[in-house]
Amino acid sequence: MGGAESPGRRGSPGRYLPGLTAAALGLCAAGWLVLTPFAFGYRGRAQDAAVTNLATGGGLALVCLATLVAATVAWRRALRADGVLATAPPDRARVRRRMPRAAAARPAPAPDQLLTALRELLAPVLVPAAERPPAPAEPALAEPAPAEPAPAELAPAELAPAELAPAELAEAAGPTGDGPAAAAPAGPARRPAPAELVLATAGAVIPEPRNAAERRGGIAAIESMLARAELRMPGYEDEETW
Amino acid sequence: VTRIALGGLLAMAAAGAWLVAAPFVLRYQPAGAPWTGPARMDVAVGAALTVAGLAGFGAALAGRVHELYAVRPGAQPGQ
Repeated sequence: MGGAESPGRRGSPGRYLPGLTAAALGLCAAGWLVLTPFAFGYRGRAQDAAVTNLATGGGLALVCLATLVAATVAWRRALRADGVLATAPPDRARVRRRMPRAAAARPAPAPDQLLTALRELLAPVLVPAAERPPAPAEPALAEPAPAEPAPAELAPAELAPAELAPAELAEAAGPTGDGPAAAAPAGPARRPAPAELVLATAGAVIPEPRNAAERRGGIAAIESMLARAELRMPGYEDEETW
Repeated sequence: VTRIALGGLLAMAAAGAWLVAAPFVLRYQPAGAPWTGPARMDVAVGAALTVAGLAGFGAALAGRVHELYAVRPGAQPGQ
């Protein structure tokens, strides 16, 4: 049986059809056994035969149903393994039920790893702000002027040098406060590169922490945002929120 | 085929054997007497069930053995 089947295919019908056919025949025989005492009317005449047929037919029906289900499940599993049947998408309710267990089984990341990852992520924004020399007018720069649009809403191409304050332009041009050229305000200013403008606006929007407590508070806020975002990661509820 | 299916086929064959033997065990077919309708039907259905159950069990077992030979490293299916 099945000698001509290739060994790589486990879901070939030759291995499952005999069992399925035998179970189906047994189910038909069970139905016949249950019906015959009523059909031939020997329920009163041959009590023993009627009871035997009813009991045997009932038990046989259960056994054949279990055999049918088991053989069908085994065949479908083999067909999935062969790639003939597509894998069904996970049930949403089952995924929701498994979500707390998966969250509990997943180890929480170490705080050091989290902070390292955060530093790597925020390095392009925070490093230029950290390299800036402390200017006396820095608190005024941290708050944008109320009449101007928020710097974060502007594309770098929209930020013309004339719209920026001179101090911001000086910051965007780099730390040049030590040289004598920094004191010479005359002449057409160098148009800053878009990347410099983005860094300058980011430095204006994200104020540099003044002390360790403020730095810890900012990192805690970012951690909270990341934790909320992780809860809504795609894959838990099959919907993309990012 | 899983073990449940193999066990179900064996149970089916056993039920057929029981149906063949039941008229004589429960004595609703006396020895030497002409065959009654229920006894004739039980023996016929029991024989068919026994043959079908044994054939299905044998075929499923042969497929399983063939599968085990096929997954054995370095074995040829015909050997």
